Amino acid sequence: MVDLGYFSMCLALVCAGYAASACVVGARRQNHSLILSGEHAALAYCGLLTVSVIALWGALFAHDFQVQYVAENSNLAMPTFYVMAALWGGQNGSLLFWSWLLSVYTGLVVLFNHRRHRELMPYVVATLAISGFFFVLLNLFAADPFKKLPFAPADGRGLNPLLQHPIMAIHPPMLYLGMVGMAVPYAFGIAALASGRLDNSWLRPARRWMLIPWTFLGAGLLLGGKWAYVELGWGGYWGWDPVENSSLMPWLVGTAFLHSIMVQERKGMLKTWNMVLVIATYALCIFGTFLTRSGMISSVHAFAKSDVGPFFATFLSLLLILSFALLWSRRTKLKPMNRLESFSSRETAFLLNNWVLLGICFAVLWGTMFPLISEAFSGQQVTVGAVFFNQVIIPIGLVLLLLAGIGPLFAWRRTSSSSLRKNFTLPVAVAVAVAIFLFACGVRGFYAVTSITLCAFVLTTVGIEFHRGTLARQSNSHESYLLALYRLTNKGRRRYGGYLVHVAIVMLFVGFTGSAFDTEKEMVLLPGESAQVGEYKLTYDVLAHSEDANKSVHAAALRLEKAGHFLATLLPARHFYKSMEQWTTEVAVHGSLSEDFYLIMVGWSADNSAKFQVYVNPLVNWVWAGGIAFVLGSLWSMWPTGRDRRMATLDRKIAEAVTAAE
Amino acid sequence: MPHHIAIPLFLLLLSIDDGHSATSAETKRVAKELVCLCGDCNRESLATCQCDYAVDRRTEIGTALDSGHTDAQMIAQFVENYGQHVLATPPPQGYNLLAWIIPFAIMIVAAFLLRSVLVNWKRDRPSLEPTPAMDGGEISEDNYQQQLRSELRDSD
Repeated sequence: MVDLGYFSMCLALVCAGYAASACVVGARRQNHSLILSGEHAALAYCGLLTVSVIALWGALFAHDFQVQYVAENSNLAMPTFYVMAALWGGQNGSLLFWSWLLSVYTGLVVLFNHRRHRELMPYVVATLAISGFFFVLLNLFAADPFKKLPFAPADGRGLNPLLQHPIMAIHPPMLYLGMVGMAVPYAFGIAALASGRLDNSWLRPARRWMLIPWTFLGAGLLLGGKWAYVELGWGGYWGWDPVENSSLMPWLVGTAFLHSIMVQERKGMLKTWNMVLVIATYALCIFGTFLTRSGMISSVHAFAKSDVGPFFATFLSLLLILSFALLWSRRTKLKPMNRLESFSSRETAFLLNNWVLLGICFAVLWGTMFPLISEAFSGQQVTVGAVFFNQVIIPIGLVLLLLAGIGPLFAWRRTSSSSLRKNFTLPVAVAVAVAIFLFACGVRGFYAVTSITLCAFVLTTVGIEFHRGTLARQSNSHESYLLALYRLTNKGRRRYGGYLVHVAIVMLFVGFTGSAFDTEKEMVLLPGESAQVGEYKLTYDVLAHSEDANKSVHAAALRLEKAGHFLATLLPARHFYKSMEQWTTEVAVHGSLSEDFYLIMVGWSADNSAKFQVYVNPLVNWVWAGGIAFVLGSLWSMWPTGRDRRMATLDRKIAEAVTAAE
Repeated sequence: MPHHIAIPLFLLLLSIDDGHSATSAETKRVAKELVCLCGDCNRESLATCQCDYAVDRRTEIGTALDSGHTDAQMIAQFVENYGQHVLATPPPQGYNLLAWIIPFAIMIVAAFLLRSVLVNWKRDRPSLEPTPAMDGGEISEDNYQQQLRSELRDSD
């Protein structure tokens, strides 16, 4: 089984190499059967890696501890669910998983575009296959998950206990689906450059294939936050850890891309810039992986030091040099087709949006890299922690929020000052009213008040967009308001789905703002004792202890009351994972939309007295609700409309006609 | 409310000392400026880290505060003992100021670049696209409808 996995990995390498060469040569010589054979090779490469992944899963489930990866990342005591997750729990397995996801994306792109985008497809497949070739190479020579030990240990070391959490079974695949998937829009960009088809035809598939990983990545980031919140036990969800940062950066640049392609589609401008963005998005995915896999930077999630570093550095350099060389060679064909008519236009708003998003991305990159830069240039070891990132990113983030509100108020091409005045009146009035209300309620703190005020501003502009559109629709269709609203949102999925995502972003900002008002308290209680935390009353009842083969558990039971009403029984615990000899903190949370009561048991004594740490985190659930809204909004935005289906049919007919003519 | 608890049993220690008067809020005010350097926690904030090492360091801070040390003295003590990287952010002086300046400086430079690009675009390029009847000029509710329809058609 294990040998089969290794063998099919070798064959996958050959197939990926062949797919890339056949597609490029086929496209150059206009040899359609060669291109087709290249695409088939890409499908075979996908199938072969699937066999490898199944083989590794097989080894994990069979507890074949002679395989080094199995011995290091699983053990007999682990529940089945986490044996499955062990596939991506360690360096080598997760890199195989990464390669496999890339091959699945490649396979799907081939299948979906069998009769579409035919000028682009050979280069798309070639670009994806080259990336795939690199990753399989990495698996074979630097990170072999099938490597065998000279002996078979009786039991394995097990999965890092911090990763033994249900979210950890979903979060890494989501993140990888996001990071890996960025290869597809990149491949469409490179294909447009290589084939010379530099009109807007690459944008439609690139946008769709960008939205898919972009949604996965966004959801993955938030799931990671949720995991940190419930598993790391420090009361927060985002620590500006290098691994978090390295997946946030491509998401930010991808967001910039999704906005700026609208300028190209409508105005034929920003062609070079969009190429730069799509290349940068994928390059940042590779860079982030390199950063956290090579052991260059330490992090909660970082994998052990290994020799994948030079591979990644080489691949990243080649990717950047070749992509930008190709872009440079096509620069004359990428001239803008239009001039800017007015500074006061949607075009300008999108450019400002790009400016801020890239500014945030740069600040994150700079902060992440600063310890390395500092050590290299001044020899000083420094830590750049969350405090720094919050100081730098929060003001820029608020500018981004402001732009999300301003953008929709500007029309394409130009907006007269009188219509601007008219458009701005209501949102500004609402924002001012909210600011005054907050101030009257005693809310202080410049950033917090600004943030909520801007949230109100953005929500009003989005609301106006929906309302005006609905009225416009109603005026000639005689539909009821709700029906008109639904049909409007349904017909303009891309536009209104985008606005729904903006609403989700507002919800996230509301949640982020809540963290400015977090309070905490530490206390030691004897069984039966109570403590008052703000409006809450906490009573410690009993400490319990249990054991299973995997871990030993100490859990406390506490009653939570508010204003004399019983709310919940909280069970904070600490687990001791035996094979890894590691403690984890299992927090107990009682939450509502207004705030979370977050309880950690720090430790205990012989007399069963225990030390607890409480965080009261206002509005934190808006972050998770915003995450759900984000996914729904992007799904709404990317779901094919009737028009998309008609376009697809048209594409297919054209392709058939071309084939018939030949 | 001082607690007197017989110390460690089990595998976790409770670090509550006799006569401990620095409150946890005071301790955390100092700890917030520092990170946990135990090697496993990857420089999490010392104020929130729950590992044994961090708990011990916080006790150390609490005890020192009790004996009359100021926040600044404590932080200086940590820097002396553990090196500059025990600080949660680089001390904002000298070379380290670059950490704060560069991101904003880059954004300002980019803003100037953006401005020159926009000015350039507005001046130089001839419009290849005939101006349609509807431009974004004065938008009345009547032609909003028309504009919306054309925009939805273009974008999907």
